[in-house]
This record gives sequence, C-alpha cells and structure tokens, in this order.
Amino acid sequence: MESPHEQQQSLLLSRIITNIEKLNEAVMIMNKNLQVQLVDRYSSHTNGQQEVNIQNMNVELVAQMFKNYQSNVLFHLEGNLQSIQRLTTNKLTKQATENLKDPI
Amino acid sequence: MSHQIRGSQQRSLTLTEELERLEQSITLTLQEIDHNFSRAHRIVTSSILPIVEQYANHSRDVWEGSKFWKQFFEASANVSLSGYEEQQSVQDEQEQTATEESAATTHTTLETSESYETPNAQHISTDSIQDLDLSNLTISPSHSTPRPLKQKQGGEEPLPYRSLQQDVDDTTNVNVTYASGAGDPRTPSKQTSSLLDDVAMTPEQSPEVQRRERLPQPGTTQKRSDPLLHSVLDKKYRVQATPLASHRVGGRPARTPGTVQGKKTSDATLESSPLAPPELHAEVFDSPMRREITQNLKQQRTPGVSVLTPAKERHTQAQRTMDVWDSDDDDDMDEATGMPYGASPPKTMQFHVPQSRLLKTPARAASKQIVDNILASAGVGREEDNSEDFDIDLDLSYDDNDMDQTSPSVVRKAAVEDETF
Repeated sequence: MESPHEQQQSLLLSRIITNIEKLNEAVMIMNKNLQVQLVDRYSSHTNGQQEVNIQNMNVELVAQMFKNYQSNVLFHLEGNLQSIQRLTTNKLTKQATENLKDPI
Repeated sequence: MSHQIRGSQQRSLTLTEELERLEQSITLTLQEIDHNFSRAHRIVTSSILPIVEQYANHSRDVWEGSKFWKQFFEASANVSLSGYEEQQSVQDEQEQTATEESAATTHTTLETSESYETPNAQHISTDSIQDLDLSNLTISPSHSTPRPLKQKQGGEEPLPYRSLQQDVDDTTNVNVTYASGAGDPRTPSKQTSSLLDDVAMTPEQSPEVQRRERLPQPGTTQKRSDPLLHSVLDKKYRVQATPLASHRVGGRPARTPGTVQGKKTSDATLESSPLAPPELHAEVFDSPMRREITQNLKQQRTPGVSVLTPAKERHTQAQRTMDVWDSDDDDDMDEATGMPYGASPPKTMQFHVPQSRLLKTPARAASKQIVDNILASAGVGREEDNSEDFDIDLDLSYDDNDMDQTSPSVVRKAAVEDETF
C-alpha cells in the first residue's frame, strides 16, 4: 500500500525532472546563442554562422592593436618633440653666441 | 504492566509522528526545489535569453564596425590574424610547456605581449591580487574577471555540464571557418613574434631596442604555440598570425627561426617605408582583372584550335574524324577520297595532326584492319594503290555494320559524326 506522502513525493520528483529538462533546454539555447550567431543567412557575403566569441576576440584584438598603435605614436611624437626642442635650443644658443660676437 | 504498554504506545506514536514530520519536510523540500527550478527556468527564458540575443546583435555591430580596422592593421603588418579554438589534446601539451616556461616568464617586464602570450601570466593574474597592476596594463578589463582554473582541474572527472557543453560545441563548431586543432598549418614562430613586436610595443624603449632584446625568444619559448587570447572553461582561444602572400622586396622567402636571428637588424632596415612603392606597382600590374584577360587571351589563342568556332566539341569530333582519315590516306589521296560523304571541310577543320596524338590513337591499326577486312571481302589485291583507295572509300560507306563489330569505337564515332555534316 502506497502512502500519500510517497505518492506526493513521486509526483513532485517527476515535476522537478520536467523542470530540469526545460531548464537544461533553455541553457543549451542560451549557450548556442552565445557561441553561434545567425548572421544574415540570406546575404551572400557571409558564411551564415559566426561565433560571437570569436567576433569579440577579434574586436579585442583590434582594441589591443589600437592601444599599441597609440603608444607607438606617443613614443615617436615625444621623440620628435624632444628633437625639435633640442634643435630650437641649439639654434637659439647659436644665435645668441653670434649676437655676442663683436662686429668686425 | 499497563504503564509499559502505554509508554510503548506513546513511543510508537511519537515514532509515527516523527515519520510523518519527516515525510512532510521532505515534501516541502521537494516543493521548494521544484519551485526554484521553475523559477530558474523562467528567469533564463524570460530575461536572460533576450539579453543574450541583444548582446549577440550588439557584438555583431561592433565587429562590423571594427572589421575595417582589423583589415587595416593586418594589411599594414602584412599578416592575417585569426582566432581559433585550441583542442583539448593540445592543451595538455601546452600545460607542460607552460610549466617549462614559468621560469622564462618570471622576468617579464610590463610589456603587453609577454604577459599576453604566455598562459602563465593569466594564471597568475587570476590567482593573485598583486598582479592586478600587470593585468591592468596588459589585458582588457574583461580579462580581470576570475576564470575557473581549468588547467589545474584538467585531470578531474568530467562534469555533466562540461560534457553537455562539449556536445553543444560539437554541433555548433562544424561550420566555423576558423582553423582549429594541432594539425593546422602553423606559421613560423618568427612571424608571430614579429607580429607581436609590431603589435605590442610599449613606449618605455624604442621599438628597435625591444626587438633586439626579445631576439632569443622566438627560437626558444615561442616555438610551438600561438599567443593565448582567452581561456574560457575548458577551451583556449589563440591568435594565429598567418603571413599574407608576401609581395615584399622581391618576394622574400619565408624566414625560418634560425635564419631570423642573424638577419634581424638588416630586416628592420629592409622593412622601412622607402621600399614600399614597388610593391604597389607590382600589385597594380598583377591585378586579377589583368590575369583574367591574359588567361582569356591565352585560351583563345591556343594553337590548333580555331577562334572563330565556339562549338568546341563538334570541332574536336570533326578533327577526330579527320585524324582517322588522315591517318588512313597517303599524300596522293585527294579531298574527295578523304571525305567520303562529299562534305566540304569547314573552315575550322584541321588537317595537321600532331604526331603525338597520332601515336596515341588506335586509328592507324584500326584502319589497317578495316582495309584488310574489306580487301579480303572484296577479293582485291593490294598491288594497285589508286584503285584500292577508291574501293576502300566506297566500301566504307555501306560497311558500317561490319565496322561496328570489328573496329574500335573511334572509327565508328567518326562515321556517325560525318553524317551530321
């Protein structure tokens, strides 16, 4: 003879199982959405599918390259600025020394 | 005695009550579990999934926007960068090499590339707080989120979620165009390192000095793996730098790591901008349009094929018939005997057949056999050449049935095709 508690618990367990199945399905869909993005299936220039993660990696790569490009530019600009300053100071000192010379 | 019975009844009552209470608590717990799962499902479907879809759309837009700049940088560095997913088997080997590289990476400065290219650095950044400075300098903020320590748990039993995820990956990664796996063509390590040199230079030192400092690296530590970009759960995403078809400086051969070290400084001077304009000229003169045009011209001017007749197959068939009859006759045979059905040769018909083709076709043997058969059936000797040729042509016009049985298909085809003329 089956106790009412047992019956209720078995019902609850089956409910839990169905809920878990649904949740599993939803998480799988979410993973799929994260990993595969449907990119304009009807356009001719795309392959149809592309990974979002890879796309984001590429974006990150671009950002990294931009960052390094910026640092390079800064480096060279600073170098140029220093050389310009050096040239101007040299020029000024030269002019000053020429001005200090006695006129013949 | 009655006290004992009453006490035992009380005990049994309390036991049943206890059982009842336990059953009720179990039921309540199960209900709570069920409620939690249903709530989780509701949250995932109603709130997370739309957000994820939005995220995918936005990330696609971002990628569309930054695609140009990626191509721009790739073109400027003359490489093509591609992220790919590393396989599990490679990861295990990588784990070993990572432990070997640990000594080499301890001396890393605050340069971006070095912390970027070794997996150890990422582990350090996830493990310890004192490396936050390093991660701030080197890695984007998304990197600073704590990652599961995959490599340390690598040998453990596979979780069900992981196996599920593996299934999902297997289904979704079939059509992905990115290269993956150990069998992929690897670029020479110099290329990746030079790319990193170009990409990841910091202004603490001049680029040339940095290159010289990092000279011994490509041959030793960077030999087998591409720089690591991400490590998500049990996956590793790496960056692969493939050199483009180099039009540089008269088509320099691909450099091997051994030769690179000696040539380093001279290469740096060779890659300077003054030598760039000749590449552009070469590209202009070697455009695909021009290639197509020249190919078309070549196709049109193939010797032995007429330009005027577009029907190529018929032409070749006709040519084959002429091969047959040309091989059959001698110099003294005129056109009338060469073309037994009285068809005048069209403009495109070739009378000259290359010797190699004649040797390949069985026409000569077949024609000899036919001639012998006909002569045997007609009872004519082979002394008189002119009359013999005449007889052959006349007989061939109605001896097709015999030819079907005895001659090879080449001869039969020719006879059939001649009727179309």
